[in-house]
Amino acid sequence: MENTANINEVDVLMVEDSPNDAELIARALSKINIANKIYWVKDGEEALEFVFSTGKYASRTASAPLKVILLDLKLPKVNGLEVLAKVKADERTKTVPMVVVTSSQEDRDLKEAYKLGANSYIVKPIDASSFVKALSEAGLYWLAINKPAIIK
Amino acid sequence: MPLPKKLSVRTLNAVLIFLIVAIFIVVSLLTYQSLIRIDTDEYWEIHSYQVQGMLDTLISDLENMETGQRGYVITGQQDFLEPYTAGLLDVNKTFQTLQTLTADNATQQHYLATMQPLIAAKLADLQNSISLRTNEGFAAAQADVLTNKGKAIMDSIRAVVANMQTTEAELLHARTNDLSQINAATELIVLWGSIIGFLLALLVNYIIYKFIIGEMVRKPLLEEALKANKEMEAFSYSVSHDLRAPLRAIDGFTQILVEDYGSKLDDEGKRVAGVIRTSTVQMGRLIDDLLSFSRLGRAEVKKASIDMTTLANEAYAEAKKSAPERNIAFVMAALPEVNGDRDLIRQVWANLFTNAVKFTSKKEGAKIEVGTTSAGDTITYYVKDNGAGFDMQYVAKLFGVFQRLHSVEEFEGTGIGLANVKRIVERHGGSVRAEGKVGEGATFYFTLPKK
Repeated sequence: MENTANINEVDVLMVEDSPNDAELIARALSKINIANKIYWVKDGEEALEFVFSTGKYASRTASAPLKVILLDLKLPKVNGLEVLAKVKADERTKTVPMVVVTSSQEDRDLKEAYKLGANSYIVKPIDASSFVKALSEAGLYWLAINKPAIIK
Repeated sequence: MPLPKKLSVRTLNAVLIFLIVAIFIVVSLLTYQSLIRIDTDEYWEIHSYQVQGMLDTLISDLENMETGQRGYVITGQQDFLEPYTAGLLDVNKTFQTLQTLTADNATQQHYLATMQPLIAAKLADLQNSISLRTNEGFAAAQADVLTNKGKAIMDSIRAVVANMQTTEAELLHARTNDLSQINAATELIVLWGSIIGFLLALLVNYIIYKFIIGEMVRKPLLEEALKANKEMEAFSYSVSHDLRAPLRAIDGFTQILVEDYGSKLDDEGKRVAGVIRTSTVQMGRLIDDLLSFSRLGRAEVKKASIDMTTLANEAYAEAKKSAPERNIAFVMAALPEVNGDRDLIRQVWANLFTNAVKFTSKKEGAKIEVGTTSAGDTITYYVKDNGAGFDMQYVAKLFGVFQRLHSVEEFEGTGIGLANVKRIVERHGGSVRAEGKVGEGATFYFTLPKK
C-alpha cells in the first residue's frame, strides 16, 4: 500500500511490518471511508519518530492528536511492546488510544500489553471475512464512536 | 525434591546399611557361639557315653573274676583262674578311669566312694574263697560260696552301677536336648537374620536406585527438559506469528480476488477460490489447535476444589449452543467434587460434550449421560452417548493428536479435542479410556485422583 495521507492530517497510525497485512487492514478500513487518514509505518523505530515528530518526521506538526494507533507486536528494530511503553509513558502522547493488532494470542503478550496501557487487543483472524469485520468495526469504534481526551 | 528431604533419604539409607551390617555381624557371632556350644555339648555327650561304657566294663571285669573263681573252686585247676587274674588287673584300672571321668560330677563321685569298699570287699571275698580252695579243699570253698556273701556284695555293686548309669543317662538326655535346642535357635537366627538382612538390602537397593541415582540422572534430564520446553515455547510463539501471517494473506487476497474481480471469474473459478479459502481457514484452525495443545503441556496446573456438577452443567450448556434446535436427552447424576484446575477440567468436559453433541447429530432420540464411579483413591467420570460410536479396534488412535475416526464430511473437527482431554487429565495424575460400538454410541471415561 502507498501512503497517500498528509502526515499532518493523520487519524490512524498503522504500525505493521507485513505489507500484506497492511494492505488488508487498509482495505478493511477503507470500507468505512477513512483510507485517506491512515498512515503506515513499517517498524517500531519509525513509529516512535512519527509519534514524537523526530528523525525523518521532525517536520511533522500535527494540528490534532492521532485518533488511534494500530500496533503490531512483532516488529523490526523496536518491537511493539517497546513502542507501547514509550508512547504510554510520555505525557504528550499517553492519552492516544493504542490498539494492539497482532497474530499472537499468547497470554504473556496479552498481559504485558494491557499492563503497559494498551486500550484494546485484537488477534488478527486468518479468515478474511472475520478479519475485515474485526478491523472495520474497530476502526469505526475508535474513529466515530469513541470520544478522545482533549489535550491542550 | 527439596534438599532436606533428599538428605533425609540419604541418612535413612546410611542407617539401613548400618542395620544390615549389624544384623550380619550379630548373626555371624551367634552362629559362631552356638557352633562352639555344639562342640562343647558334643564333647560332653561323648564323655557320658564313655562313663556308661566304663561302668559296663567294671561289671564285666567283676563278672570275669567271678567266672574264674567259680571255675577254680569247682575244678581246682589253675587254668580256670585266668579270667580272675586278668580281671584283677583290669578292675582297678577301670575304677580309676571312672574316677577321672566323673571328677567334675559330685553325684557320681559319691556313688564311686560308696562302691570303692564294695569292690574291695568283693575282691577280698573272691580272694578268700580261692585261698580256701587251695589250702582247705573244695568242701571248705563250697561252704564259703554257699554263705551267699559274694553274691550279696555283687548285687550291691550292681545297684550302685545302675544308679550311676541312670545319672549319666539323665545327663546325656539333658545334653542332647540342649544341643537340639541350640541347633533350632541357631537355625532360626540364621534364617531370620538372613531374611531381614536381605529385605533391608533390597530396600537400600530400591532407595539408591529410586532416589539417589534417580536424582543424579534426573538432574541433567530436568535441565534438558527445561531447555526443550524453552525451545518449544519459542517455536510456538514463532508458529503463532509467522505461520498465520501468510495464511491470512492467502485468504485475504483470495477474498479480494473474488470481491474485485468476481465478474471476470466463471463459476469454476469461484469454486477454486472457495477451496483456497476453506483450506486456509482449515489450516488456521490446525495451527490454533496445535498451539492450544502445546500450551496445555506448559500450562501450570492450579489445583483447587471443583464443584463438578456445576462445571459439567455449564460446559454442557455451552456445547449445546452449537445445536440449539436439537432435542437431546441430557441425564446427569450429582458428581463428586474433585481437586483440579477449574479452567483445564472445564476444557475436558467441553471437549467431551462437544463430541457427544456432534456425534449424536445424526441420531433420533439422542441421549447423553454423565455419571461417576469411585474406586480406591480415584474418581472416574464418564460421558456416554448413543451416537455414531466407533470401532474398538481403533480405540488406541482415539486420543492421538489430529487423529480422527470420521471424515470431515461426516463430522467436522481437527482431531485435537481428545488429545487435549488426555493431556489435561494426565497432567492431573489421572487417565482416560473409551468404549464404543459403531452406530450404538461411545463412552469416555476420565479418572482423577481423590483429594
